[in-house]
Amino acid sequence: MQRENYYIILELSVDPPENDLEIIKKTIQDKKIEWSRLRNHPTKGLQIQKFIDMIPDIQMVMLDNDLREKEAAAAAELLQAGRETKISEIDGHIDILMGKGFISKEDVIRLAELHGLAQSDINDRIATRQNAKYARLDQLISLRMGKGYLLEDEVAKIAKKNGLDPEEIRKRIRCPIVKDDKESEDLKIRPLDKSIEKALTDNLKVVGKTSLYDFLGLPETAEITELQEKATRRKKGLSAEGKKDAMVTAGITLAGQCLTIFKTNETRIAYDVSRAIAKLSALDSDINVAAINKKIRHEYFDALTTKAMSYGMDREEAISYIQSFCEKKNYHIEAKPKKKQRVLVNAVASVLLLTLLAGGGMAWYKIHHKSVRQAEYQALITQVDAQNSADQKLLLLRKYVDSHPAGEYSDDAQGRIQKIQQEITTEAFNKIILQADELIQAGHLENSLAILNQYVEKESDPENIKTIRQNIQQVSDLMEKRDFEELSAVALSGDAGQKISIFRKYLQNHPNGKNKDQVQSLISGMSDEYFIYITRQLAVYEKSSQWEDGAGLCESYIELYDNSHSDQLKQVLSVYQENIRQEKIYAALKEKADHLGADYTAALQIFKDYLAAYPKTTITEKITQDIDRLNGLIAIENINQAANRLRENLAGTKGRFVEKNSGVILDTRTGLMWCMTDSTIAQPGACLPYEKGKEYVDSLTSGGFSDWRLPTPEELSGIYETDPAFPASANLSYWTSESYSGYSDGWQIQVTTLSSEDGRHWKKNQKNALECGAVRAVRNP
Amino acid sequence: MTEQIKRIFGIDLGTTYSSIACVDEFGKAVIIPNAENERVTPSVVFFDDDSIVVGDVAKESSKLYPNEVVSFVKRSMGEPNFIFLHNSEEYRAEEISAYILKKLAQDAEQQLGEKVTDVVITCPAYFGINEREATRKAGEIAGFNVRHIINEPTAAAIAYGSLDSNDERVVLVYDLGGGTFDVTMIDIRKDSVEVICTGGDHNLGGKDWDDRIVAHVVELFQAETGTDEDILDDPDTWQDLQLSAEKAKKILSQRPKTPMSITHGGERVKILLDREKFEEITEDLLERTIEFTKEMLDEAKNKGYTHFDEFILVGGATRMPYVKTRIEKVFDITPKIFDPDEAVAKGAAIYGWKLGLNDGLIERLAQKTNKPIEVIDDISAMIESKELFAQDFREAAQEVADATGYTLPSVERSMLKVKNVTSKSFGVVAHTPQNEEIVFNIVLRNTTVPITRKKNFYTAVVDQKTVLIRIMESETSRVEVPPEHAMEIKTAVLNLPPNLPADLPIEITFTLNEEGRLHITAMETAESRQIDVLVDTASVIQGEDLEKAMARSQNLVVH
Repeated sequence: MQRENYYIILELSVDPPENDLEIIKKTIQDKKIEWSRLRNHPTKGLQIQKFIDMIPDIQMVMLDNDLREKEAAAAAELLQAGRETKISEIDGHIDILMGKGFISKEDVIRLAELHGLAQSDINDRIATRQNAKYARLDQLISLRMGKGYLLEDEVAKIAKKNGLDPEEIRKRIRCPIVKDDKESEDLKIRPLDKSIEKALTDNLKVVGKTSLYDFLGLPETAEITELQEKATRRKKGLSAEGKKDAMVTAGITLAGQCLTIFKTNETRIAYDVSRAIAKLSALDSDINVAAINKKIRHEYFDALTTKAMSYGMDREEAISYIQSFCEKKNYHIEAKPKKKQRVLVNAVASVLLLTLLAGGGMAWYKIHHKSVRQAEYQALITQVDAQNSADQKLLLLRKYVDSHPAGEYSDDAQGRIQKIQQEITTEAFNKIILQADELIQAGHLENSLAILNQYVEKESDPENIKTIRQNIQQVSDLMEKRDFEELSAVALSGDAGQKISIFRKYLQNHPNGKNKDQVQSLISGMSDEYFIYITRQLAVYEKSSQWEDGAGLCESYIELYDNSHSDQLKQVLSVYQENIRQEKIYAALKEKADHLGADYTAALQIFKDYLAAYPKTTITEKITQDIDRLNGLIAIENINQAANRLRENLAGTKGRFVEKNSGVILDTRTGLMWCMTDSTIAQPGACLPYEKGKEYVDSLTSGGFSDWRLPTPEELSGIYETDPAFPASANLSYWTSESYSGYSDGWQIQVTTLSSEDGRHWKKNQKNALECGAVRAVRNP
Repeated sequence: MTEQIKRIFGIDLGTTYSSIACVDEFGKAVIIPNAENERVTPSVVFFDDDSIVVGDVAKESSKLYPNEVVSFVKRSMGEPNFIFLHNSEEYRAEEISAYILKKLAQDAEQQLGEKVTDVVITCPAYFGINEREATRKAGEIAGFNVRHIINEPTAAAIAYGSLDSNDERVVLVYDLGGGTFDVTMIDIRKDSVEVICTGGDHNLGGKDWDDRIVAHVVELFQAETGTDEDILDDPDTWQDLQLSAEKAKKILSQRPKTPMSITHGGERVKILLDREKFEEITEDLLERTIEFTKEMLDEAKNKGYTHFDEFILVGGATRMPYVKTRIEKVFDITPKIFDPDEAVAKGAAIYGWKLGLNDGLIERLAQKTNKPIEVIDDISAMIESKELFAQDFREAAQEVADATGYTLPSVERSMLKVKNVTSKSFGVVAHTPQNEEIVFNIVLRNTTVPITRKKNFYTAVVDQKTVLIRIMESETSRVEVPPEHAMEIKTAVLNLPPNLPADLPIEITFTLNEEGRLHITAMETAESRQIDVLVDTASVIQGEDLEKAMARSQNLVVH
């Protein structure tokens, strides 16, 4: 929820904003005293407590120059526009985008950026718009619930009007449905007590919600048990809040009220009925306001009708409601002056005309013959009239014209079609003018231009297009003006890059702009400044090999200027272009290699071949890296293959050796754990002298263990020489942990090894520590 | 009565009414009536030019001088931004409360011919640290030696338990006062009163019921006169209605209907309010108390208490008949209305009296055993551990009984232990390994106090100079709480000694005493040096404001 504006709460001057710290401090102090006095007011107490809770924040913002300035700006904006306009603006955009049938993710991102909102907010808004139909339906229903029940007639009417099944409507109604007013007398429906309602409204205001449903975050159609559960949860949650500020206190009170109100269907209906009545009383008070000297001017009457319709009445209902209210209150409604009536909005006039036409046609047929055709056409007209969408109306009429011979009815239908088409065209035209204007007001000139251009492309009415073209010119002028203002600001403060970029953008967008010459001369004056900027920028790009960006900059200079700097940059450009070419080659090589997938050897060959042909280029380093990377991958693959082979062979050890963790073999006979891969697999072809072998085990991590060591000769022969033996390959010579000095001065170290030529017969012998050997690591359990 | 035992008075400082009690020479707690001979005094203060008037006169004056009268000040205790302005002097809630306390004490002094110096003041169990501190400060501004701040339901339970002290039982105290609601489960035993669990809402009380009546009659007035004006914007009308609403509520607790009249702007409307309507417009408030009671019972279950023997109703607002019927229906037990207006003050007086006797006992035991007074704190524990001889204790008790005239058993029973729990959780703001801020609760709510809990924190850099600790209060039983669900009550700055390494544990100790007051100590673990902790309770009156209030109060006579 958006918080209140402090300028507005403190009732300080907004235009011009009050900036005198002494006055502000005094106002805060005075407000503090006033609020303290009202702290225990029976109805406003909570709202006041909220203000008191806000004092530390108010002081922080209002006594800080920057924050206060922002606050003043926000206050001005709030006062000027009001929040509603913002929402209607967003809705307008959503409607435009929805015109194509769906809203894409990009649309949402664009809208979010445009309005400075989170994407989730925009999504919420879209959902609301999409649910507008149901919302409107609920509005129609809830307004009629004001009397405590709905008539069956009303249900049928709503269903027809919205093209829905009456059952669908019934599902959304939460009060009794009766045949006629008489039956309703048996029902004892009464609204909530006024004071409860007032308490509710006040508390909802504090928490920034519109109804108890909104407070619980549940739809108005939610089941009563669901409402109860949610209320209990809310109360628990809020009670747990450490900070019992006004918001929380109001929330707890509301949760308590939910528990009572949503206890039974009866109490819930009472609440719904109260809400409906509240809406009507809002309308009543509007009428009262409009009645100056007990007279209602006709313009006000129109506005009131629109307002009443926004609460869910249809036009006749609205008019009759207002008229009967005025009668009761003894208000006189002024008639419309005749002259004005003729220039009424086209739509109204044409509706009237159509009604007259239909009426006239009927009279004629009554006299002559009541043929089937007449009845058929009459049914069609009724059906057409009941349609909300003009497209549906057209479809029905066209179908009729296509399937019936020429004659009175077909002509009439044809006339109607033309009329509707004209209406659609006018409507679309008016809408576009309005939307374009709204977008201009909101400062979204590009969007405005876009929808105008779209119109010109799609529509054919020459008159309308002419007007639209004029509008396009106006928007273009506005854009030119705006862009030039922006440009002037950048020309004062921006760096050379920003300046040139905005100058070029201007020339590109406004090739015949009023200020074209001035911008051209600005560009000419910047040849040195821009060159220095570019050289600095190029140094940065070179460091990170951003050749494309560098080339772009060079080209931009060369395009604008022809001087010694541009000659210099041309040379730089050719180097960059070569680098770009090399990068492209590298990308192609890489793509080719990647395409080979797991065939690392083939991929390796691709890089090796290129390196052999072009040993020294700007991409040599990258290629070397790829070769290393692929070698590594090949090694891992070899290890995996060897490990898999070993796994297969383990099956032959009759359960003596089992793989415990991945890569660790448990000798179930001794409990010792052996590393699955030995050094010949991990480092194929590598010569491992004894010291290296020790380093190898020390740094080995496998199966989650790192405490590997060299085995003793006995341990090693225990797995290879007692059956069932550990699977082994040929030509192996393993180091053991047993070593001693060959000479007394320790110059030469002898190590006990276990070797086999065929992998089956093993021999213990001594070997010089400097010779090559292999390692099979072991660890204690 | 001899001079040796100092009389300690019990004061119930309520949102709408306050009272003072003491224990008479027969060992019985009695309410001391005020100068107007009323047993309870409205907690209303009237700033009448140069003098300050408290009580009935002040309450009546609110109709005529609404802007010079302060009511319901208890709801603003510990609120730093509450200010009452009179003659360009600013007064805070603590000081205004002090005037109420002063009035009670002055009238009692007049009645008894004895100075009131030492007091036990009660506060809702649900008060947090700031509000408790503010209550204590109010007592100090009034010039008292505040011996203890005790919870209202605990006081009520003590009063209830003192009636028939041999019966051990678990009681549930449902205390619906003028401004606050508490529900507490208490285990009453022979020698102890132990609070198990507590819950409630300090913004829910009889006043809210009054406010509903006010709102209701305003609607009726508008309907009758056809005006849209909010007549409550007129302070005179507001105060007038507030008073008549309270009266109407009281009458409706006795009779089925009551007439009310509203006068505003020359128009007068008479209405008849019946009990049914009254109960309809306030049903949700009652429902909230029921919900709080259910939640508290759930928490008690976690502590192994699945059953209670009695349900007692305290607080004036429990006189509304539907409170009793609703409780009967929901909890299937007949609640007992127990001395609703006076139990709290009386319980506080009994507690004070026992403190006094205990002081006497300790003094005598110290003489007998040649031990310094400070050493003897928990007599029964010392007898058990053979640090004291039972014989010495009996002799000392007999001497106290002789000197005071109280019976020996009542002196022996003065060692009654009161075990309380904290109604809030306390913790500090800490950073998780993901560097998110969370509140790490060190003491969880409904933990028995006193309690001491330690936790290590670590220095971030080499030679760190200070550590800022934000102490947070919250109402959940979880250890980790997001900061937005907790309230910062204090900040503490630890001044570290020089040359500490990084990542050095600093041991922070939270101690909550039996009153629920928080003390913090810190120790760096390198050389085990104790470190200064500077605690700043910004929201309670302090410093210059406090001194000014003290000075103003000293020379003030309250009428």
